[in-house]
Amino acid sequence: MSRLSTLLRLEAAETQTAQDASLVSHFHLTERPLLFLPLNHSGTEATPLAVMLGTEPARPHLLVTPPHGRPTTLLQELADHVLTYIDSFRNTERLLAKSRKPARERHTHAPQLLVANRKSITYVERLGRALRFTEPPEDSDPAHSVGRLGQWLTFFADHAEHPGSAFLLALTDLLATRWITGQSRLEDEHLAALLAWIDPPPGTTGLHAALETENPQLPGPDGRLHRPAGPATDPSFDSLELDPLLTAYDIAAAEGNTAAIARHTDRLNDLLHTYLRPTWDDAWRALGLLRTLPEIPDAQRRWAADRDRFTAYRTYLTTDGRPQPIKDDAVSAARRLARLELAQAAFDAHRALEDPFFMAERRTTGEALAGTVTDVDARHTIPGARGPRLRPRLTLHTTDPVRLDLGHLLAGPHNPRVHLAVRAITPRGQGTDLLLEVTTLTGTVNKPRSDSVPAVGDQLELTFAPEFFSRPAFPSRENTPWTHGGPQHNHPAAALEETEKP
Amino acid sequence: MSLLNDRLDALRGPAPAKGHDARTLAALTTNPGCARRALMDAAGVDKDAIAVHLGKPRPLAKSSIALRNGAVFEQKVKADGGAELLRLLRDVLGLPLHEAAHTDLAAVGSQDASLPVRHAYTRTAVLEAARSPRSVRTLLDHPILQLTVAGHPVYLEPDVVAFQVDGVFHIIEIKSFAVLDGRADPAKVAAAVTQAAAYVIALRELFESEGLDGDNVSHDIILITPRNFSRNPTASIVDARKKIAALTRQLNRLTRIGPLLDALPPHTTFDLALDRGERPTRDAKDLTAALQTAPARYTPTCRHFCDLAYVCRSEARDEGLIDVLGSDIRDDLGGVDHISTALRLADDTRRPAPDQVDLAAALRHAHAVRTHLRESA
Repeated sequence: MSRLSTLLRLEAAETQTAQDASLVSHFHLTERPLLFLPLNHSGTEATPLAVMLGTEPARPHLLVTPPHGRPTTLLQELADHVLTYIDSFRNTERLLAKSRKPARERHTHAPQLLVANRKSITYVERLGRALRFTEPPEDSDPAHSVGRLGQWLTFFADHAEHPGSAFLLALTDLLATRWITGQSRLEDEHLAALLAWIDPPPGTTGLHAALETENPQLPGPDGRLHRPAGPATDPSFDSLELDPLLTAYDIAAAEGNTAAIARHTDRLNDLLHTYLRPTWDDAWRALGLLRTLPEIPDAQRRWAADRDRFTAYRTYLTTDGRPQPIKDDAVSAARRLARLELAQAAFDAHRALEDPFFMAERRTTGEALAGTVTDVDARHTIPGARGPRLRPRLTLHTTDPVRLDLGHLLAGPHNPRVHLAVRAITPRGQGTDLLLEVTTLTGTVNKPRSDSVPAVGDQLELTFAPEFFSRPAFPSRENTPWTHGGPQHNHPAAALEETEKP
Repeated sequence: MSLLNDRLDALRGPAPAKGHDARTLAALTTNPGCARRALMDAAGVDKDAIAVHLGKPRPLAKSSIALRNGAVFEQKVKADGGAELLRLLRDVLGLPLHEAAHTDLAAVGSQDASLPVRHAYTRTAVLEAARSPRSVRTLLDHPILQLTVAGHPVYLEPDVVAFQVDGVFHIIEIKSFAVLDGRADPAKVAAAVTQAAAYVIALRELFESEGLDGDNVSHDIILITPRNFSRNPTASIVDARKKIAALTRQLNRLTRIGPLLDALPPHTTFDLALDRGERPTRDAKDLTAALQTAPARYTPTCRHFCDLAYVCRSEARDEGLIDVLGSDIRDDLGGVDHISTALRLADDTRRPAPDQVDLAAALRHAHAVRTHLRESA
């Protein structure tokens, strides 16, 4: 959170209108994502009551657990749907060997799971954990089993933790990056209320539309009830509608009244369809709004890395296929943690370079600054092993608060590959003078590259250069002492972790 | 004391008082500064009924299905005089137990099963067990405990078992959230431990009031929850020392109820004036005015533990308080209470008070950055 977003939230609250935040998309949105809306059975852990899913707005598939039944059939149908979807991505491209990376195959397209809110991401993780150790029945294809579904859900949920990965995204997160509402973040987790703020019906304000929408007892502006999007059902729905229906079903079952049993089963389907359909439509509307945003180049780069991971995991499933372990061993956990930290820092830095809003936010947190070039020494050199090396210097005057240290490497959207090292920080007047040294793309003393050096009077915006975050060295698994998890443990899934580059 | 009780009774009206529960205890630790909630909980006011009467959403409405699943789990654990519970204590905690005397304190054997009567009954049973010369093993089911909150005794109605072995009492808390691979939702565990910590403190109070050693109540609580995705129970020991210390500190620091009552205009009441058909007849505007005499301290998280959350939210919004935007925003703007004040400081149309100078400079900077962003877009 930054002071800029705080200010916009205040303005949204005062004007009762959502404020523009980031005007670009930070995640690649695929042509054919799978929208996944789960509802859990209240008072149980990872037991789906119903799931609405599909890739087309007009064709939602509703899967329902029969009254008081086990979700066995639902899970098998869910596995069929999801695994068929994943399996439909088959085209690969051949990538040539490049620097340290060997030649490899990579899928040209990959699956993408969209859920309504963050809690649904946790639900995907829990469901994956519940299912991935399920043994397939004998004489069945493990590639279409419930256990395989669990493995894939775990794969999606693991990547949702990875900053910048676009395999599994929550629509409320994406919307809240684009717009800032005049309510709290907690309330932003309600998809229908968030959409009401962003896109209220004509003649009403975002605030009033959201207030009407969030009350689960009152129909929204479109005349339909917009229930909480799950995975937990609305308690009043449970008590007032679902529970009486289940009781009626019990009575019919006790009497052996097959007609009534069938009727109640149909009613259950209708009830859950009515519950989920408004959220389904909301989700597609949200996606429509988000698709109008231009994607930043880094989103494409990260999606390419995601496709690499997808290819690697598919290969793993066909060659070994054991489910992910319950707990990481120490080596994998350390690697994973380091990778997540790096990915977060690099993701943030790239976003700042490619999105003016993020850059502006960073200026209010002290991680970026804007200023005017007041002096340039294009011929400045430092001594090197084979004669002087060209390191042009410039002075930048800024009135932004400065929270930098000497030696920090900065870069700006004007040319992200030109890095500037901070050499001196001097207060002057109402602001600060920064002495910066160009360290990349300088050219040589005889052949200077003038395009890398800003001119006096240029306005620059600078933040940390993404390459400032480099990967710490880990010993190989064989060389890790036993006190730190050692080489003895060797789950094949851990090997995927090692080949991973940030 | 009786004068204080009379005043609290007047605040509540003739409806029976409600005891403290998990939610009100959570509120105590997460939002201790809310005078409105402190008064209403001390008086045992039915806050949910007030929210309904004022036409606001009920944030704590419970799912009948979830409640039933929870009750089934609890019954399963407690069935047959606690046979399953004893097995868990034996297997998981390694206690050398063969049997224990199970006493259900919900069945008091009298017509009057009100909280004071059940509390007296609990007290007798606990003291009897504690003073018994033999080292008895006792399971006390559905006890009613008393805790001093804001200088005023309130009843706790745990669905919990106090378990005594070799002279030391343990609090057992049965919860229906799952422990998955040895881990559970931290928020839910924290709530359960807060609740159990309150029972530990209450039980120690009882001991000490009788000249017994409060350390005979263990600071380790026993949490019984479903294991992984099954409905089979598992037991875990949680060290509640930190929570007990934190809660004790909160309880000691709470503004006493007396001064809060003194601050109300005379004859203030939150009575819903129920008619014979139990329908509230209190004028909604009049009730709202009465509520507003007791200052609230709203945060968006109130909805997790207070029935009045939506009542206070619309009030806070009408007043333009920053609180409605969340505690992260409020902390970011420390020293300013109103949305409009912060915005006027940002656009430099309001002169900052001496303690707002730094914040005002930061807000003006954010405003300049935003203006630059809009202009260059």
